[in-house]
Amino acid sequence: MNKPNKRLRLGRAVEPYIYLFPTIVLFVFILAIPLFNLVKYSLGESNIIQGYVQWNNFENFSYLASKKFLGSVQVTMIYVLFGVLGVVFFGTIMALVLDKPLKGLGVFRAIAIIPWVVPQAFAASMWRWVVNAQFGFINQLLASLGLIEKNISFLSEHTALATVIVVRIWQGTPFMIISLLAALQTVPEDIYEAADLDGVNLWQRFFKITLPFIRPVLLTTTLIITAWTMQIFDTVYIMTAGGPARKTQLVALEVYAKAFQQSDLGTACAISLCILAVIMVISAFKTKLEGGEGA
Amino acid sequence: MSLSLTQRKRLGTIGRYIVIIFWMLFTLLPIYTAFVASLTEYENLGKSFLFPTDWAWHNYADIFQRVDMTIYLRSTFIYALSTAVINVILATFTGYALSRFRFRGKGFYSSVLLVTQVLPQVVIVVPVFLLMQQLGLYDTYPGIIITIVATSMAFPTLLMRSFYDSVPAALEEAAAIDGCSRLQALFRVIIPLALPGIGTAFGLSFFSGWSQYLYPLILTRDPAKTPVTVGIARLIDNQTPWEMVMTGTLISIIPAILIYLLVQKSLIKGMASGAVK
Repeated sequence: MNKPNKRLRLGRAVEPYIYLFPTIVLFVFILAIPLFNLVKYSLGESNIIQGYVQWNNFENFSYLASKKFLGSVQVTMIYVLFGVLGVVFFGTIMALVLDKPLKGLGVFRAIAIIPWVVPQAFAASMWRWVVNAQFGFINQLLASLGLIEKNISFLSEHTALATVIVVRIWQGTPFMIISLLAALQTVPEDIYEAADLDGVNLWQRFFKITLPFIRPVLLTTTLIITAWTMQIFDTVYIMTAGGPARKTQLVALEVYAKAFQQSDLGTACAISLCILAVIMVISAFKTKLEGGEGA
Repeated sequence: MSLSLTQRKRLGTIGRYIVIIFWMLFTLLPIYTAFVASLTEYENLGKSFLFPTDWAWHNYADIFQRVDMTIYLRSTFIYALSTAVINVILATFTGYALSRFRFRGKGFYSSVLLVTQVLPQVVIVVPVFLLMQQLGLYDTYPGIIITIVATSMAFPTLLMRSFYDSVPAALEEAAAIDGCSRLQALFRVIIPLALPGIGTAFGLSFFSGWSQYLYPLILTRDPAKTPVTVGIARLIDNQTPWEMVMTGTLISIIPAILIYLLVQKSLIKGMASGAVK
């Protein structure tokens, strides 16, 4: 009786590690070693061919204080702020209108989620065509309605950032809709009925009844979207490559440019460490929120 | 003026339809304009923008001649399928371990998983690029695929874990009494019950593999391993053949959209349970 029991217990102690072993190896190679190297490269003169070359007194980090880089931080902040605000705003509205039964609801919901399955790279190519200065749909439409005399260049110095923000909202909103639709299921139906009888207006209905129920999900989803928006690369790189005149040079594009175009590995890794720090703070905040709210 | 309850309800419905229709137009705009362009001759681009007038279906055949579309699609398919298969196998066991066992380092492992979920691709790809060159895995399928897997397996794993959580442990105990080993119980009792979860994990991972852009862009320069994301984006320059770019884009996204429409119910359920959790 004793023996098998012991074996079983020993088996139980080792067993989970056997299941996890392949992924642990994977994480060592694709996570632990690269992150260790990232720190190493950032601490010295490094290039993309030789890797770490020599100590250089934190010179890489001096770029982080340069005007050029701070401009890129500013672009990123505007992109993230308006991108996330747009996703929260439209995502909430769309989840609310797609919540209760309606003719054709299933089709509308299915369509509303489509941008989420469109890979970033293709969202970029399609939107570039939509806003094309010569033949794009928007210019053609505005011109045929007689609203503009001269075509608008949507990817010019003054407009490019706004354009990529709109594309970000297009991509990001479906995830917000999915999350909030799930959260709206938790709002008891009879509260709405009582509110209807009391003649509550739409505004009160949302802020006094709905919002308290969906707040935890809204907050965590907003944090997830924020972390995602901060690391968007594909779409913006394909749409503008950071231009014109660095007006859409997100910090993520800055890492790419430093590492692979200027072969300045050290600086690229220094920037990466900063991005990581910000992302980690957001994730820690999200974990804390989830623990605290018990969502 | 006060409206009756039914009147207010009807007004609300009309309002909802208006909002929905505007959002549907915004959502479908790029896909529709891509469709119109894909059926237009190069010379006529921009002449008809509301509806296709050329109906140039030959664009869908021409693209395979004018661009290395077959090669691109094949590489994309290899990335997507390998990612899905490997992710599902890993998630089946890892999710099981996380659901059924208490062990040392579980908290740490879970936080590592979360880190892989939020880690920006552009941050990890720089040191991975050098590592792959040192390991001789640069310009190889395995090098790219393991990078995709490592950074995309967290979601399927957590999804499988929550599916296992919903399967009562009593079922395994019953199987153990019947003389099943733990692995036998897993394969004969638990996995059949978790099949919807496995399907969802497969679908999600397939999408992850299908949409990769940055990793293949950097980890290979071999045209034969170029996925369709990178290949199509490269067509865009000063003399962009937009009708080809849009045709290629549609060919690449339509399978994804169709698969999504087929599995959307379970996919969204899985997504939502992951999000609400």
